[in-house]
Amino acid sequence: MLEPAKRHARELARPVFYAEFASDTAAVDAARRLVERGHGVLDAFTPRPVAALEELVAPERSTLNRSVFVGGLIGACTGLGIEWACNAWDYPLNVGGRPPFALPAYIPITFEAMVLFASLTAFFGFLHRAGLPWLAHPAFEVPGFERASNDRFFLLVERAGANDEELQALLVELGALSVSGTPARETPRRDPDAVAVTPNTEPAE
Amino acid sequence: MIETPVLVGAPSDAELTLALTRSVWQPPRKAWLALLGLSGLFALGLFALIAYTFSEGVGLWGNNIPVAWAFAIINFVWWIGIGHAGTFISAVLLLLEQSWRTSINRFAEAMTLFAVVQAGIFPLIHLGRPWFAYWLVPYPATMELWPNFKSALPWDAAAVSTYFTVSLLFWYLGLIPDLAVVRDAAPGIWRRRIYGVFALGWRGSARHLRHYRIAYGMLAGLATPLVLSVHSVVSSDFAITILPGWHSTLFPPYFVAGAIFSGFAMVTTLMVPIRRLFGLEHVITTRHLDNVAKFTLLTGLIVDFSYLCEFYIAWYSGEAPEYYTFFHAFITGPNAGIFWTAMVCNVLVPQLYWFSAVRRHPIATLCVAILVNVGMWSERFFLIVISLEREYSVSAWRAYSPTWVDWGIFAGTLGFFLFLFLLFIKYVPFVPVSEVKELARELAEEGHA
Repeated sequence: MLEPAKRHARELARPVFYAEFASDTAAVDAARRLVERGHGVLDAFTPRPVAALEELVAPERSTLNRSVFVGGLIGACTGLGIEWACNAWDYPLNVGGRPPFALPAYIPITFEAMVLFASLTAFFGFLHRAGLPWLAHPAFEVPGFERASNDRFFLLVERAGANDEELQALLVELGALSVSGTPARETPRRDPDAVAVTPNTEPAE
Repeated sequence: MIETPVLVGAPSDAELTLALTRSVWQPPRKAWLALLGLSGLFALGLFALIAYTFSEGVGLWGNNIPVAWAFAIINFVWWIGIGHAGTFISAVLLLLEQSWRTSINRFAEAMTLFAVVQAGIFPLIHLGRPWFAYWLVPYPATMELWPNFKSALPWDAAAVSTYFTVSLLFWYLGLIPDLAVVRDAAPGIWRRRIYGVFALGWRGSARHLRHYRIAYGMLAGLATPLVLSVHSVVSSDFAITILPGWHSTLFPPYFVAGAIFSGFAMVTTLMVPIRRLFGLEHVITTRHLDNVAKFTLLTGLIVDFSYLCEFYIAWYSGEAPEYYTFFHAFITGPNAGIFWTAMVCNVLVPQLYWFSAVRRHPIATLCVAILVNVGMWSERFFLIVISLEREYSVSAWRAYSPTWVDWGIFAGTLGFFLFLFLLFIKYVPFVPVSEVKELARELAEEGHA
């Protein structure tokens, strides 16, 4: 897995088109046809989860659950380890004749620590894998992108290896309401020009 | 009988965005402002009374020896219990793929969070020397002493703080896509920026959703055993003592059932006014009222069965002190009125939910829910206070009555809870927008199929 900064740089270095669609079915159809013709569909931005687009764009299963398992394991060991270290190893204290290492009495905190560590791993593991927070992503510069959270479906189409005009025309033919592009840049997010966007190409009605 | 839908009509994505986020941009209503002001005053009263308690000491309360726990622990257990239904609705019903959960899970989670905040106040102010609260945490002290992890109190500290943290993460993770919706719909750059920061740059990416779904499911799977563990740990505070009325292996399931019972009642108490106030009858339908009422009835029956077991074991054990606590102190003791209130509200009143007319009528179900809340608070009262008033040794018996400071702090937490909740329903989309859109899409596909 790439470091977020490297991944950001790689994401920004790619020349892409953002194609806007009016419905999930239109976006799914277009994405399938694009893939058939050998164009890369890198990502989809949708107001609600669309299973077909996810299968197309990111078919491999997330491995986050493995990290969560490891996180939980570390949590359980930490919880039990602290209890052992405090009450059995560093300062054993006879309270009511109970053994210094009283496993049944140590289970609740072991369990709570396991849940706590696993949950923190799930939350921050998600943020890490998604590369969030990234407040000034170039996508937000795309005209009309605010509707990606409302009622429009955007596809992120790779421009490399394709003729720009032909690809643009193809997207419009597939039902895109608008096509916006970002130019290729080698420099990551700090470059203000990295988020420059070409004007909208509205299809002729 | 035709089943009432979980969503009325077939609204489009744009219509749903508008309907579910409109309340965030509209100027506040007079009723909301008045309630906020009133609950804010109660919250200020709470802080003032806490300051008063800290400056004078817990002698301001009605606590005595042997009734050393009293109001602080009653309120702690009651508030924690209320939180449980929120986690139950969002986590357990998510894992069981119950589609009706979608419209109400967000505010049920918020209810959990704010209820745990109230609950957390009580053990701290009950310490007597609250500035030593950090003694519960293992830290390298100069005297080289550690907390005794064989005691139930450090378990409590670990359970409640874990519960709060996990509830917060679960709630916030679910909120991120909706914060993005609000960010994109925001009028004006400043509101866009503020919501934008909290949305963390979410853009509905399919690549993110792949991880997001796993993270959300994992948190749900972790919250489910957690919710059972928290009240079990709380009940251990009681069960590991030898006091008649407390020393029972039944306590963990009994407490968990009672917690979910009171929590579902609180969900109804909040849900009925909210759907009315914000005109959301098509998203929070009578089906939701119906299902929550059914859960209240089910968990209520488990609680009733636990009462039965407790009394049976008290009789069957042949233990005189145990028998005395249940068959004399609870029924005819100095605070027997509270015991009978609990019995009426927890055993008789929920039986009204056998009638679908009661479950589906907003005002009727609201009345039942409020009585259940009263009943569950009374249950915590008689369990804690009456058991302590009548210990083994007759010479140690002593009556208990709360002072105005006790009542003031309790009323203050009710106000503080309502204050936080009112802010939440105004400034955050309290019905999950993207999940409701997904549900609308699924329902539309089922309709076509």
